[in-house]
Amino acid sequence: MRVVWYSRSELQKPTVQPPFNVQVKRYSFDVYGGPRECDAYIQYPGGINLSALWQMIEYLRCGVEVYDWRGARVWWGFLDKVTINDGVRSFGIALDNMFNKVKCTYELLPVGGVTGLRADTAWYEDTISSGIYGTKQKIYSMTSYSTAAAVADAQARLAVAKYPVAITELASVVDQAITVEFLFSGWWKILNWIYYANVSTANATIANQLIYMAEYQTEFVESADCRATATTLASEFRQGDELLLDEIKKLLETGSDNGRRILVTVDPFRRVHFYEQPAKRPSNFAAFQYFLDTKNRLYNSMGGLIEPSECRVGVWAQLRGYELVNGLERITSPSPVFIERAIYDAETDEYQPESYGYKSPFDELQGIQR
Amino acid sequence: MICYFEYYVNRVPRQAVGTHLDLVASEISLEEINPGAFATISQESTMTSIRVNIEGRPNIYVTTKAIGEFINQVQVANGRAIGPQVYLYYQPADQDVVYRARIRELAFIPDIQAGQYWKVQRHVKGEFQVIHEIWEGELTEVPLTNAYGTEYGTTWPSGIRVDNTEDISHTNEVLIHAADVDGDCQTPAMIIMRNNYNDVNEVERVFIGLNIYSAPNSFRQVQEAEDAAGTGADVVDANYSGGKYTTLTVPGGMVASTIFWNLTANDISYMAGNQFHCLLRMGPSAGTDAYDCYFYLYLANDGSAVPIWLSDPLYLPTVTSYSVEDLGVIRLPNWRVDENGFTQPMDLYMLIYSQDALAKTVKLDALHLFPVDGYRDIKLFAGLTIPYTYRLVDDQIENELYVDSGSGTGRSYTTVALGNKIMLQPRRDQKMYFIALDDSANIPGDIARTWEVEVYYRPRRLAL
Repeated sequence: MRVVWYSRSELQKPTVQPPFNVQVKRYSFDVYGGPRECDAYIQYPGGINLSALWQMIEYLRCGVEVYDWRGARVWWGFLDKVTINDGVRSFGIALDNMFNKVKCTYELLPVGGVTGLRADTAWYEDTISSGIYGTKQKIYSMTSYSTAAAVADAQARLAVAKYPVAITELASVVDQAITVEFLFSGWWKILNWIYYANVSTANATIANQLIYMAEYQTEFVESADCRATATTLASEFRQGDELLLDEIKKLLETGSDNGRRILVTVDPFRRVHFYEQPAKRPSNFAAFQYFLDTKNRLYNSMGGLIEPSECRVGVWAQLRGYELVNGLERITSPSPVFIERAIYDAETDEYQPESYGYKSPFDELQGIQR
Repeated sequence: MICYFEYYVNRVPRQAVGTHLDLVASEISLEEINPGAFATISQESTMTSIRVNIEGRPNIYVTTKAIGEFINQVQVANGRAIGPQVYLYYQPADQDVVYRARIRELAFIPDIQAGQYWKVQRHVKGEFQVIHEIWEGELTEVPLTNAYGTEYGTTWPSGIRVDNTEDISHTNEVLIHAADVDGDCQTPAMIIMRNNYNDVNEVERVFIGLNIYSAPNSFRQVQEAEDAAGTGADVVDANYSGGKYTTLTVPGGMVASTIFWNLTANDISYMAGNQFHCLLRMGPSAGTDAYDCYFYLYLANDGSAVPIWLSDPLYLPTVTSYSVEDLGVIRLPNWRVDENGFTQPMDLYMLIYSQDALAKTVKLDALHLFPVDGYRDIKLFAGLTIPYTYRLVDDQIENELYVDSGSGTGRSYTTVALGNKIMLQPRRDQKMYFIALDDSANIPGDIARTWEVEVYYRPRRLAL
């Protein structure tokens, strides 16, 4: 596996490659967004000078592409988090807790009053940060305030969060390996960096709204298209209190005219493509059919191996190696399965698909926390 | 017997002997060496132990200092990626080749009580423990053959002529004969491409392909658009591969424009179920419409048009003016072809859809199929180009990729090679393919562009 680094500011322009061999651990794909996450690291072989490793922080939000043994681009996204373990402590620097354009919503209390109306401050932006990393918005909400206090609060929060904040773990294990760990995220995630507002109260089709919404992220999305027929009408109006991605997800679940979900992928050139979930039993059966063997190797209908590193999602796969018994009328047939997400383990060259409806322990945990 | 450590800067061509520590000399005498062996090709390193006797007089401190410098340089080269790599050189007594191995870790372990011997400047015995990569023979030039003959490079102009496409009057291929690559296993190539096309437009992107497993002597890597059937209209233009390109009108919405190539049973057999990078070579004003389309590739039984297996949607970049782009990798045919290779004629289809409701005009020149056996997509950035007489040196032996002025000086490294390495396979015929793209707005894939190409390698040994 090979990681290639791209310029932060210009799409598809390579940047200076770091002089270290970046090892890819694993990456994942999802039917919602395509490339999802990728874990990689540098194992520092010598203990001489760590300054070169610290320079890896400079690559935050740079584009990355992962190439497999065939020279095929198999994953793409951006550097979302860097963790440097210097053998004693670890320093994590992530874009998650950075916000460079903030405002506050608050309940404006008149003098002497006990109830008030909702009010919003203006947006406050640090243009240096947004120029480097792209605009990342955050709306803070508070209960009762004066306008002056809300403005002060918004500006104070911007000052704290405008650059990625390093989180230092002082009490790490001594003598651990010196490493730099990277978390790359797919471009789909970046649609959640801004809120979506639309003052139009007209109705528009789901397909057109999806295209409009994806292209609303003008900084990162080159274009959007929808290959699903989705003509259901819905109001375009959005207050602007929800993140863009959350708004898009609601429409994706509404689905196509065929009653199937709308799925989406972002290509390496940051174009968003919406498409309909494939039919379970298409008219041209062979062309769309896959088989999954007991070792999770995916084959096309002619028995040609799909390279595990392609980490294929959004397809139906017949399970091989299982004899289905009669009497299954009252449940949905367990085969074919729809591959909703998949992980590729680069260290073992294993494809680990997850079927529709599968909940990972991580999902379960999030459910409990909610 | 020859055995020494060395590091040096000017490696190819090697211009000077670098810093050198001879292990078969008066100050250090080699008592025993156990050269490490590799059990598999994928094994990354092994250990060679070398027992030596270091003489006390007159210069033991000079010798021990030199050992320390080598140990330090190994650490700096590997740990900090700074400075030259350090190599172990060794020629077994029964062989006439000096082999080398890149050192990853180097240690010298003196025998017990050695410290006292050092102090009194007598002598010390000890053992070098060398963790190193695979054994490599001497740098060897590979004879290259194509329609222009068979050539070795010597001095500028040197190498063999290579054009920018494969048609009746051009060739972008070179054949390497089975007997000309020696060794036990695959070995990286150093490819030198001298730009000998005197033109104001300068090269800024190069594709290199390698075909080992798809019948390199027979396989056609170019499928001309004008040779395809379908809905295209051919346009005669000598600037394009095969002297023509094809214009396809892609309706808006979800209706495809279709083009397909008839592949003979032999074509399918040559492809052998390998995987191929599909390089789309476009016609004039390449980027205006094609980038707003998406493409499917699939195979159909001869005359059937029914997809046997459909690729994922394939996309071109949006912000490039390049006339050749890699659509993606597909397997052809989509099943395992056995050693007999018996198969049927088939059709290779390309479906082209507009990404929106507007009709598009796609001018298609050819489809190049570069096997995944070796593939480079070399991009120059930060304004770097390869002007006339300059060289692109893709030294995969030393992991260096640069443009120089033609004589080895003035190296610029703002380059990146996407894809994987070009690894030559011993004792098999194999072919390399080349496509270069320049910075002109009109015909960036100028088919008349020529290069002088040289290829070098070091035969690799699993054991000596």
